[in-house]
Order: sequence, then structure tokens, then C-alpha cells
Amino acid sequence: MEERESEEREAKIFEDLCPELMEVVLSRVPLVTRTRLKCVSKSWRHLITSLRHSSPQTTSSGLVIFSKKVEPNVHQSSLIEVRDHQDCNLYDSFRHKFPWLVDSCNGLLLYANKENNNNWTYCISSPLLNQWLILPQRPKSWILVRETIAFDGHNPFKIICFSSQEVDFSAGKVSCQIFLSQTWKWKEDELTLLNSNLLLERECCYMDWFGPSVYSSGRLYWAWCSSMLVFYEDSELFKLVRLPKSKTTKKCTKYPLYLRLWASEGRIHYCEATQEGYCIWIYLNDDDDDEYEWQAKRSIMLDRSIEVVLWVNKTMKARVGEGMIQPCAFNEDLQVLYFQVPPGSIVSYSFETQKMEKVWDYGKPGEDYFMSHVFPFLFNSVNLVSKDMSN
Amino acid sequence: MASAPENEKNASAPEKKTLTLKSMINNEEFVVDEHVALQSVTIKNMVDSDCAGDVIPVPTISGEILALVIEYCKNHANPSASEDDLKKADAGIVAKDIYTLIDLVLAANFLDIKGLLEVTSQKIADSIKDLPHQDVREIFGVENDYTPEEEAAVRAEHDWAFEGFP
Repeated sequence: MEERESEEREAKIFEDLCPELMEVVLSRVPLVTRTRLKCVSKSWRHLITSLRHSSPQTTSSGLVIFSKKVEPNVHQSSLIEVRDHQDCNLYDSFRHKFPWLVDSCNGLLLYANKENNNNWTYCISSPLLNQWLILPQRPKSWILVRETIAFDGHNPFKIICFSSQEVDFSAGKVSCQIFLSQTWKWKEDELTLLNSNLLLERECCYMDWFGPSVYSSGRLYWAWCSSMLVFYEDSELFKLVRLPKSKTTKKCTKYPLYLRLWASEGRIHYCEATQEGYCIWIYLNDDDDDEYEWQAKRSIMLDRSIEVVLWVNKTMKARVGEGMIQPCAFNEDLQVLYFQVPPGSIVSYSFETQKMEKVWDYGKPGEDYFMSHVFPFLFNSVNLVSKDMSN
Repeated sequence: MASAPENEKNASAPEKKTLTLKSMINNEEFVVDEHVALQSVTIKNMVDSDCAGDVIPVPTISGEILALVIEYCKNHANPSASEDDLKKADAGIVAKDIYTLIDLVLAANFLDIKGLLEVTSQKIADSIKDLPHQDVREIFGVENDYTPEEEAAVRAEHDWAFEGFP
């Protein structure tokens, strides 16, 4: 009897919710889940397909393109809005003296400059509110470090700095400098590094080269040689995890600065360069110490040639995945991976349609285009001078 | 749970009008300040067009759900509540199981309370986003009208969305 009642209740739910209210709910479900839910029933499939056409997925994450030396000692950052996987739009472009854009995290940008006395200085920026704040002098500011913003989009931010020179592999210690926005001060710390032995069996020569970081749920992730470095914000602890390898992995990429990690559906994804293109892996387990916590997700075969504008009026065919053509950003809302294609184009690859499209040109002859970097950027108006940031 | 209008110190209106909302499912009655109840566009229309008597009957919404709706309206009618407070209060209201949330979204839709509709549907979306489609089908009581072959074909067509999904 009870079962029947609950069946009746359930049947009623869908009748009541369908379809306008169901549309309201489903439009808030991420693209990947929504696509999976096409398997629920024919009417759901129809509803989801029409929803996708009538109100395409929106996103507030875009790209920031940093170009070095657009004029002597003047550099430029451009914010690019993304409408869908084929359509980008210049939101704003601004020039600045700081010669390096070192990180972008949930609406904040971190710029660096090496002064004449060889000390590094930093400026944190919230570009949507045109706020630029110079940070106090970092301890040991003469050491070249990897600077990373840890910022969830609302609460105070931190900047984590460390250098591979300052890692004691046998003792499992990393000395690092951490800037806290609450106190507006740096602190120095010697933090524990778990599994540091992984870096002793290194096969990679680029000890200092970290790919762009990912900040997700209080953790920072970097790809570092053949390992992934994880920083746990709460416990202030580092851990190394071995990155997975497929049979056709490329031995050692010439350009280790490309994007290798991103977060999607709350999980870390790793993009491994292979002979054919890329293999995407998912980091499954963060909590126990199993060695192999990776699951292969998909391969992207990149034998498709795309046309790239080279200099003026000349085009060339380029194979994505070759040379300096490398991933630079991932858009979770659209499930699109962006590639930076020198000398100044951005190409998108949609996981949904498996199509590549050229979406942006930013290179001009004569510019120092090899020093251009593309980072993900979140259109989030962060107020750096509000109480939330400093208290 | 019937509650009397609260006496706020800084209330500016000299006479406080109240409305009584009555759940037609279990006949529970709620006395609320008019300005609180008027956040519902449906009730506002009734009051504006003089269709509202002393007691406003609310069909298809249980007392339990109506209490949540009124809690939401009270929070949002308080002019001194900060955005942060409201966010926290909203999160508390929607911290419910999926079936309550579905009832709540239906109520928000019927009473036409935009903010409540938004937070509730977002919460439902968040609760189902990691579930296999079979579970979602069960929760919403949807009849599976695919043959196993058809379902497999739809799945294969959208293979990319299932990659790495258990």
C-alpha cells in the first residue's frame, strides 16, 4: 500500500514539475550532467536538447591574454569574454608596467617585476574594478619562486611562493613564503612535503618549471615534471602524487609551461601529451595513499589540421599538439579546452562536439608574441579593499 | 505552527496589517504580516484585486512547506538583514532532502516568489548533478520510455559526458 502511494506521489512530481519548472532546474545543472540526463526518458531528452538550443550554456569564465612589450617597457593584458565554444569577445584591454603576469585565479591577477636590485616585487590586481595593489616586500625576494594565488572568489586570498631550490627532498621539507591578505603580511614557513622521494627518481630536466596551477576546494595543484604537487591550504601541507602515463606518452615536452591540470565536476583532470594528441585523466582519490589514483578518461586525437594566420595575409596549416601549440585554459561550463597557437591565435576544442575552431587572433607582426601567455580568467568583481579581504 | 506578528522596535507603520495563510492540505493556519506575505506575487495579486478574504487558502502546499516559505519571506522582508545573512539563511532553508525541495520549488512556483524559486532550483540542481541518470529518473518518478537498445544508443551518442563517470 505504502509503495503504491509513493509511486503515485512520484508520478505526480514529474507531472507537476514538467516542463517549465524542470527547465528552470535543468538549466542550473552543469553541461556534462545535463547531457547524461538525456538518458532519463524521451521527454527529458527532448527538453534538454531544446534547452541547449533556446538558452545556450552561459559562462563567466573567459581568458586573459598577456602580451609582453607592446611598446618599450609597456605590456598589455586583455580580458576575453567567452560566449560559446566558437565565439569570443574582447572585454577590456589595459597596459601596465609590470612585465610578467604570473597567475590568474577566480578574478584576481598577480603581476611580478624584477627590480634593478634583483628583488622581485608583486602587484595584485582585480582588473574588473581596476584595482592594483602593490604587495609588501617578499622575504628572500631575490630568489626566483613559483608564485600562486589561492583564492576561492569571496574570502581572503593567499599567495603561496616556493622554489624548487628550497626543497629538501630527503627531509621532505619545502621552505615557502606565504602572503595573507587578512594581515597584508608575508610569513615564512618550512612545510612538510609528503612523497618527496618521487622527485628523486626524476626523468625530467625542467626542475624549475611548473605548469599553471589549479585552485579547487582549498587545494592547489601543479604539474611538476612527472608528478603532481598538491598543497592543502588548511593543514599547510604539500604532497606529491605520481602522474599517470600512457604507452605513447611524449618523453619530455619541450614546453612544460602549458596547461596540464584543470578542475571539472569537482575533480582534477590531467592532460598528458601523447604521440597522437592528448590523453585526459581524472584524479580519483585524494584521501588515501594509493599510488595509482588516476583513471583514463578519454584521448583527444589531434591529427586535424587547422588554419592559422601567420604574419600578414599568409596562412599555414598547423597540427595542434605540435611544437608550441599547447593547451592554455579549460572552460568547465562549456567543456571547452583552449589551445594557444603561435604567433597569436587561440583555438577551442569542444568536448561536446569534438570540433576545433579558431576563436581569437591577438598576434601582430613585430610584437614579442613568443612572450604572450594565455590564462583562464573568471569575470568576478573582486573588491580588494573591502573588509572581507583584509579582516 | 501559527505565529503572531512580531513587534519590531523600528516598525514604521503605525498599524500592522496581517494576513492568514491556510494550507488546504492539512488546514494549518499561519498569521503573517502583510508586507511579508506580499513577496508572493500570487498573494499580492489577490490582495490588490480585493480577492483576498481574511483567510487566504493555499491549495496543494502542506503546512510544513508553507512554514519554510514564510520563513524565507520573513528573512527577506527584514530591511536590516545583510546580503551575507540572507545567503546563510537561504542555505539553511534549502538544506533539506530532495523530496522536500521538490515540494518547495512547486510552492515557490505557485506562489510566484522568484528568489525562493531560484535558490531551491539551484539546490535541486546541485543535489542531482553527481547522480546517475537512473537515480534521477527514480527521484522524479519519470517513466523510462526507452527500450534498452534506445537508451544504449543515446548513451553512446553522448559518450563524452559519461567518460570517467562510474
